[in-house]
Amino acid sequence: MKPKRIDSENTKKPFVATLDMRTKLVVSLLASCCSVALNDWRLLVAVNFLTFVYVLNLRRFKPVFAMYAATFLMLGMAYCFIPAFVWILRECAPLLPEESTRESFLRLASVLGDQGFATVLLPFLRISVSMNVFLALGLTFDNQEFISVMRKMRLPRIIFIPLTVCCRFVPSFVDDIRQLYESLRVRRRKMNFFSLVASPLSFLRYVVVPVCVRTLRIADNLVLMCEVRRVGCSERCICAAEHRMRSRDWCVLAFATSAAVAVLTLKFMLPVPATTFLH
Amino acid sequence: MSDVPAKTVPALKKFYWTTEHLVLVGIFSALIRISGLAVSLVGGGPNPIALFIRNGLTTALLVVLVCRVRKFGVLCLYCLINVVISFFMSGSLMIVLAPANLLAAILSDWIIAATGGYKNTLSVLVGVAMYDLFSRGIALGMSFVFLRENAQLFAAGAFMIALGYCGSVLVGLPAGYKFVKELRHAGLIRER
Repeated sequence: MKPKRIDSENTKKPFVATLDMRTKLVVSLLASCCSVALNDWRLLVAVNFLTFVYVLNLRRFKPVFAMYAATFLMLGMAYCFIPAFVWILRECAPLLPEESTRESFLRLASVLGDQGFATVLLPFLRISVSMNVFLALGLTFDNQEFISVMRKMRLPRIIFIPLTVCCRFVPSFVDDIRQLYESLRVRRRKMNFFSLVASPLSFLRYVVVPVCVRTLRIADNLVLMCEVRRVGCSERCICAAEHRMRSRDWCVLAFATSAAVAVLTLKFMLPVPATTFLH
Repeated sequence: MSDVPAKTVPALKKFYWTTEHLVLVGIFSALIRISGLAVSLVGGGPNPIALFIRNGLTTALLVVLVCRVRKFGVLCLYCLINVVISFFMSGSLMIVLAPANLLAAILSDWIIAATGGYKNTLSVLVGVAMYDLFSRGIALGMSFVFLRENAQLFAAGAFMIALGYCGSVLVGLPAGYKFVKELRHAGLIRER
């Protein structure tokens, strides 16, 4: 069988993935500004269409549609929760003793109850615009590119070091939590919604505490490594060649050696006085 | 051998934040984000119970961070790193809330310093509770900007934010106090 030739056509990335991170950041910021500032649903639909095409260029359909499904679910839950809340307000209002409190309850119920479905459209469009650009940035996020962008932006030390550490250790923590989850499965302990609700202390004990302790130990090791490599330290990094013996050091050594030789010589030459009880 | 001519060494710049502090803030920022995500995934997505527990957990870890670093401005630094990470990961307009969030963090740091200092765990709990309250208030304002056309959705968002704050206060603060006590016993957080 003829071996398949690997060339740039086979490994071609989507167009959005080839953009620089700063470009994607500016696009995200502009899209967010537009979504917040616009009130006309037609303009928001146009912006939404553009950002949807932007994120679909990545050809990662599963996370995109999963996020949209989660958004619909959240909005649906919120939209269904409010009529129940309005009903509770209207039923509880007559039971209240004070007239002013009863009136404020009924006023709140009328404000919440009089919202039509059309008023959901604009918030949904805003959320979806932000979600599209967020997905485009998040799905193409690369640690190395992030660190190099930070270097180019010449961020101050107090931002650069924590961000670098954060980026470096996010995959490590994800692996740690995955390993903890696997070890719990070996012990036949399930970690799902029901176990979390039934015994949240178990979740704390088996997952959170080990990760927290490991984090503190990683931090100590990392600080030790930084100290050894003089990364971000306040003392000036002195070249090793500057640490050498000077004439003053040789003089002191010579004096100390001479003094020691003299004292030892005198010890053997002079008679030993009777200072101990053995003599 | 000849003496090396003495060079005039410029005054060394002393940094307020040492490398240890910056590394701790970075690692805990990552840990708080990942643990919140893990609780959301295990808890089955965005539901009130998972939100309650997630906020409690993030508050507890924040208490541990403040007790470990024990320096004025740690909440400011944590807030700054969080804002920058959120901006780089989502590019959203939330970056404009950075001054408000930093002001809230400065106030919280001042509250900790005024009520007993960073070596007193109860002062740290009060400061973190106030920081959560201020940041929730800012989040509420931002949700109003996004959902201003529909009072129902805004009310639902306000309810979720209030529920999250209840989780922070009722679960996060006691859990954080317990964590700090145990970590002090283990020697990972110094006593004084």
